[in-house]
Amino acid sequence: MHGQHADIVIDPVTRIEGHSKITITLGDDGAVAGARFHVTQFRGFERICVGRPMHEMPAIMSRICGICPVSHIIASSKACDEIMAVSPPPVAVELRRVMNLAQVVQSHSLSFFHLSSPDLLFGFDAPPGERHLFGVAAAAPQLASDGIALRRFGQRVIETLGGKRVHPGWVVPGGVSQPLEADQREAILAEVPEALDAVRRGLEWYRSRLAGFAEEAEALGTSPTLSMGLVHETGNAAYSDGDLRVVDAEGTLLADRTDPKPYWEYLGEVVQPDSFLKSTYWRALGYPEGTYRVGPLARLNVVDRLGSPEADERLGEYRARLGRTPQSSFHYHEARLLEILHAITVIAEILGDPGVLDHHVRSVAAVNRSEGVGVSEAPRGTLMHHYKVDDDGLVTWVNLVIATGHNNEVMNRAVAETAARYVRADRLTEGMLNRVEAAIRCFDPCLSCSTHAIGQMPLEIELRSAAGDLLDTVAR
Amino acid sequence: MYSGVLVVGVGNPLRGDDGAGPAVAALAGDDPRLAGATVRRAVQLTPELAADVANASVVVVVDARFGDEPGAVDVARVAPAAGRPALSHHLDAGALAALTALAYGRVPPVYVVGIGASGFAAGAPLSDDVRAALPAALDAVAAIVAEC
Repeated sequence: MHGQHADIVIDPVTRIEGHSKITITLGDDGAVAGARFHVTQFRGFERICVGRPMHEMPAIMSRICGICPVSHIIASSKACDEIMAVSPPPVAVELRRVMNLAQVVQSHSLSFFHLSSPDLLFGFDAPPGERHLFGVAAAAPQLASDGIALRRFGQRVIETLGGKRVHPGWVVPGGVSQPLEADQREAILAEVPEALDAVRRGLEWYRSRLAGFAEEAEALGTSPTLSMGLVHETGNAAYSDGDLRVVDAEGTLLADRTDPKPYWEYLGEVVQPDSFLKSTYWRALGYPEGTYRVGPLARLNVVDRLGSPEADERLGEYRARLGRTPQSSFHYHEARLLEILHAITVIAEILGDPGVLDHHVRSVAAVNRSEGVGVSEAPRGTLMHHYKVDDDGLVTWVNLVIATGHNNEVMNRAVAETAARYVRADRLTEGMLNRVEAAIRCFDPCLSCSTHAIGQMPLEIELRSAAGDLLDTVAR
Repeated sequence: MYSGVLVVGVGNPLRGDDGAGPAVAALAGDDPRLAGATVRRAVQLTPELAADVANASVVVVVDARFGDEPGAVDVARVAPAAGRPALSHHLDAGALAALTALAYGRVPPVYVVGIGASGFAAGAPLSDDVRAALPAALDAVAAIVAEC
């Protein structure tokens, strides 16, 4: 904008999954007047699926993303289960849970260890040439190798079950395509102790760094919001099934044991003219009061407990330190580590039951309904797939509500808050801009992409006065 | 305690000659000269492979190479990359070796068997030149392993 305002554009935002940019608008007084997070890529999966046979949907939808394909396969298959009006066999439900939790482990490990730990190790003011995995490996080899080990564990579980680390075709409408064999189960279980040790070290390392980031923990997106996530009827965290629970910033229940499938009854959508990402809100409170967040921090806010002993003990300590419903987006990092610990534990628990080797893993049926909704928890938050089909099972309509869409408004607020605190109109520094990026990175947004150029694309930011004069530039 | 030989066939079998690496890996799995070797196929070299590289006594990466004569096979030993590339989702063999050295304190000899490619069109099969070169590429892998 010109005249009354000036813009700072951060394009692209780095060390996230996908392509986006941040615009920071300055007012006449030189102070930050506003900031927005724009998603500049468009994938169009809701349109390209029209006309495809319903049974193809999980395989097609997995291509939305190379990082979280499993999340889309799970939600898509659940939507197809609905259309076929079948319940997958119990062992298939458990095997789907294992793959979904493995996805949580590998995705959270990428986010924390590969993308965010450089900031926490070197600090936000360190040169960008140090703040990447190679820098971490040089300065803290154990931290780097633990991150590699955890991501490798998650990927190996996915590969063992589905035949491929990325885009496995194993989860299908009605269940899974192949049973788990005993040698596969033993191979996974053999790697559990090393993975648990790695995440325990990661948690201890994070706690050791936390005191040095007290200011950022108070500044990187603390706007009070609602939290939403799936919860079992026991109050434990749910990832592949469960009902919806929503709490406000103080932890007051706004919805509980709510069927997540008729999402249009409780969620509203706002189209943002400057982004391909829509913002959602909790309809009962309207927009923007109904702004909510999803993902690891929100899940820990809504659940009574995670549901595994060690993770729950650490969750109790986390809550004693940060409160029952922490609102700072900075704490997504610790929530992510706690979820990794929980996910590995539950994977071991499920696979420890010999019944998981049962060979009845798929319910077969034709099209029995014209519509289906599948809801699950992706690493980044609640994921919804909604399909309509004709009498022949050909897809006629698709709607996807992805975690990053749920978080869009909160991310915008986080960017604005962080920019207002750190960006000064008379200068641009690496640390200043990296804190703005880091506010987004807390959410680990996945912009529905399968191509990445992280660390390769140039970043150029211009700072202009309200009159349009160039004050400063920063390029990477 | 190191696990021995690691062969990684790199490339996307859905993109023409980019599938040369995985095709050689498929042959390597049945080759008695490579008995006991760990053979993996990967669309890209990713940081997670560093753990496998660190545990190997020798690593052979087989990859298509654009710009060389189609079907030409060459072998090069790769040193850990001197620079520290910013993280992407994929690495070249030198960067993978460098990451392994930094994170695990050791890196075994890493070789790249390159196969000249003529095209990477989506949905295309291997070209005749590359298909004919697969046995020579496999021989090159076996020769490296025999010398180590």
